[in-house]
Amino acid sequence: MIMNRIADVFFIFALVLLILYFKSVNYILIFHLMPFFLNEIISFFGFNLKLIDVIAFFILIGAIGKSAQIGLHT
Amino acid sequence: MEGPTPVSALLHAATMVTGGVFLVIRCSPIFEYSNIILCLMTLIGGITAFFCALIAIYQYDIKKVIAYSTCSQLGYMFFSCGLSNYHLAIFHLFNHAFFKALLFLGAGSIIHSLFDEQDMRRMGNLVINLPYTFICFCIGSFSIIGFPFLTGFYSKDLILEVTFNVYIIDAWFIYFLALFAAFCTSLYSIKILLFVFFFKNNRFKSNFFVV
Repeated sequence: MIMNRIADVFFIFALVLLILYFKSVNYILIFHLMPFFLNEIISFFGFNLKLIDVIAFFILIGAIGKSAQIGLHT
Repeated sequence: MEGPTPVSALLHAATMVTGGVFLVIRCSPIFEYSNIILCLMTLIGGITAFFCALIAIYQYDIKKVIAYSTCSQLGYMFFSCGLSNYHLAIFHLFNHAFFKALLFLGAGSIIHSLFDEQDMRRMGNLVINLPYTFICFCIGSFSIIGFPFLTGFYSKDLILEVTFNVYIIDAWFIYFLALFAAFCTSLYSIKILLFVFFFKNNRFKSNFFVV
């Protein structure tokens, strides 16, 4: 139960980043705008991370928690 | 995530736990732009398929064995997503929904006819008492093993074959994990069939005459 909530928090992070940069959560709009954001950089405590990697990582954590993969199982 | 057997037949097989895999497949244009996350997803999926199949061998609760085998099959879907074979992942998801629902309903039939007995060691010789359940359970088990001309054969064999042919650094490692997971899958499926239907009768005497 607690693992699902942790995964939901990370999924909300992904949604917040999508709304912050794309101003929408529509599937088709995001997929068509995605090639224009490939060089976008997020600075996080001195690390320069690509926006696309961060969003994909947060969605991946959400999917892992939802379907009980290793790390967030039980 | 425990519940009555028809509920877990719906949730564990088709709808709830496969939501994560469906999310990955639906967001595939996002994942295709980031190589690192695809590599991470492949590793996590392969290790989960291996690890959960290994756990399921040592469980004796009949519903826990089937639940851990669901986890293992979800690992298969995850690493085939990570190797960019999304069509194989949705194909395996579709087939897995059918045969795992069949297995859960068969397990529910066994559990209810033995008065809520879930331990596999206290069953045995049910092939005489529940022949129709035995036939349904056999179809589901052979399908999850990957017996030829049943649904699990087509999807799982295709996933293994494509994993063998992909030239990514970790594909070779994942291929051996998935092969050993397939071996463990056949092991615990045969174990359920033997313990529940074929071994010597270990049931309580009170529910021996009723079944």
